[in-house]
Amino acid sequence: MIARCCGWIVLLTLLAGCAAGPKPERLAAGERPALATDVGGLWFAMDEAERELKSSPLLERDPALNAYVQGLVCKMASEYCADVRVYLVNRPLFNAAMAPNGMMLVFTGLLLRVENEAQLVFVLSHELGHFRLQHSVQQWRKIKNTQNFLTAFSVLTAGVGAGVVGLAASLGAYADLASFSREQEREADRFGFEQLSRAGYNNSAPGLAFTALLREVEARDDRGLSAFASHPPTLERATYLTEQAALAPGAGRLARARYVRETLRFRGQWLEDELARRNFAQSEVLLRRLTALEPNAEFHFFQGELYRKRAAVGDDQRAVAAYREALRLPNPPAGVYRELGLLTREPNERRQHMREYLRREPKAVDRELIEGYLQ
Amino acid sequence: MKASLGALMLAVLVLTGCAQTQVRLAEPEAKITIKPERVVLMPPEINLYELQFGGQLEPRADWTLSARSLVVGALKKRLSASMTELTDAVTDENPDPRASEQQIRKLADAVMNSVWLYEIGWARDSLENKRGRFDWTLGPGAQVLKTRYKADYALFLGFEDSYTSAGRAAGMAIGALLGVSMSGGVQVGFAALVDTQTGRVAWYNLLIDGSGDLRNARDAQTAVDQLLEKVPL
Repeated sequence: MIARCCGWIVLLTLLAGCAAGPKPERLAAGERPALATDVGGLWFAMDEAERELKSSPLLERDPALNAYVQGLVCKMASEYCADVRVYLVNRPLFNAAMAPNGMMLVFTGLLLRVENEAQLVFVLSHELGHFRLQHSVQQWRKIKNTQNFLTAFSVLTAGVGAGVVGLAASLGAYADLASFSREQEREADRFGFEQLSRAGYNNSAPGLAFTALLREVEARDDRGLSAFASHPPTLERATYLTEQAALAPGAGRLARARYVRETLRFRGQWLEDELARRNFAQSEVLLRRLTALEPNAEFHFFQGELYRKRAAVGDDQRAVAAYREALRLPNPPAGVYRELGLLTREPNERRQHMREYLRREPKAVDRELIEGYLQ
Repeated sequence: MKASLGALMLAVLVLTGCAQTQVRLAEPEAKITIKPERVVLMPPEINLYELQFGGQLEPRADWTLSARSLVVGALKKRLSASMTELTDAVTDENPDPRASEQQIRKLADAVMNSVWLYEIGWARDSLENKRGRFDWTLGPGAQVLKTRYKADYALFLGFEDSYTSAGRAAGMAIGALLGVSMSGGVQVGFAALVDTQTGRVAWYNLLIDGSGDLRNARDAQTAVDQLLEKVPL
């Protein structure tokens, strides 16, 4: 019996050993792997996935925003520029992913959390690192060889054909697949870090970003969807990135002004999507961070929205206070007047806010309702 | 279609040597009156994999590309005797998510997946309102195919095929000696005729074959012939 069992294990191990492939070779710029290889197969499957993705309703198609992010990728990828294609995915998750064929996904929940261009460039370079070092191919070979039954890639390539629902699911599967090994993450971090410094950005940005995100992760609220489901920032990574910056302190640029200019008009929508996760503990930490960075009426409005939606004891007062704070700052969103009109008790003030709301938003969908209240 | 079909079928299937087909009709056979003048052939969904030692399906680009052309060739040959005129759908990619033809194709993927799952697969008979009746439909949105291709019916077809790698074959042989059963590659295919006026899935067939092969013309023809054996065209 013992002989039999162990013989079986030895044979399995030997077979697994036979299947072990060489480390993937790095590809030259513009190079495609041969079709009849495992790398070629993975590229082919991802090409199909990419074709499906192109007609997905989840994509953010705004030409200017796409050009901005693709431009940053291009600059960092230099001669590999033409090999990497960025897709912005409208989902309130902190996530970015890199497929072996050069398809890069960047989720809008990441763009909302990034504070400046330097932080974004670090994330993009990190993903480029996965691509240049062919991490997903390495990972696939490892999965094959260690008989890990979490067959991420077949889940992915299979889900892609399953229509709209399948596509959403496969994006999720894709995010899961992107759980590269710790060693690979560190390698990509190193790659990203070097690229960042070389391009003249401030190299303290990544460490600060990950430290800030850690606070959000700690504030996890299990009732809502976490923004960090697939790969949470860990203390280890935050520490590593902070240490790296301390080793070679530089005075590179953060380019916050440009980042805000390029993303400002999407922020309202991203914050709305953020609150829809109903993970209010995380959103509260995030909004507090964003407000500390740049106090503005929009952030206070969404803080009010958070309390209104959470509706815990005392949240109505908190909401009113946040909306009032928004009114004290320039350019409050019209929604502030609507909410104050509905929440304020004093009749004259109520009417005043409601009228102001309709004046600022003459085509509001709830116009008739508000007019009804005013009569 | 692909993932669930291949992976789940492996779980459902206990090594079969022979091919099995399962036909579903929206109308009883006696009443079936499909004799369309023109059928549009939707781009077949075909993917071939190599079954790895540990059970993973590794996509094979070279086999897949060759199988796609072999299957279309076999299909045309199989239907050449029919009075029906066959026209190819255009495979242009329209990135607009509201483009109706693209959406109908995605919807068809989802519906075909459900047909398999709830009619034949592991969730068979679990939907009360589908029990004893085959009334799946893509809805009137399918009319975009009627308008564009002037076709009465659309033929949707897909294959998911996996082949045992050398490592897996050795594992199977050893497993057999030790009394452990490991499954080999398996071919799963479906074909469906959709009424382009109503969107109704009028005819559906599923093929499961433990020994089919889409990597050569002869076996690809066999697979297509089996799949379309009772097609009312």
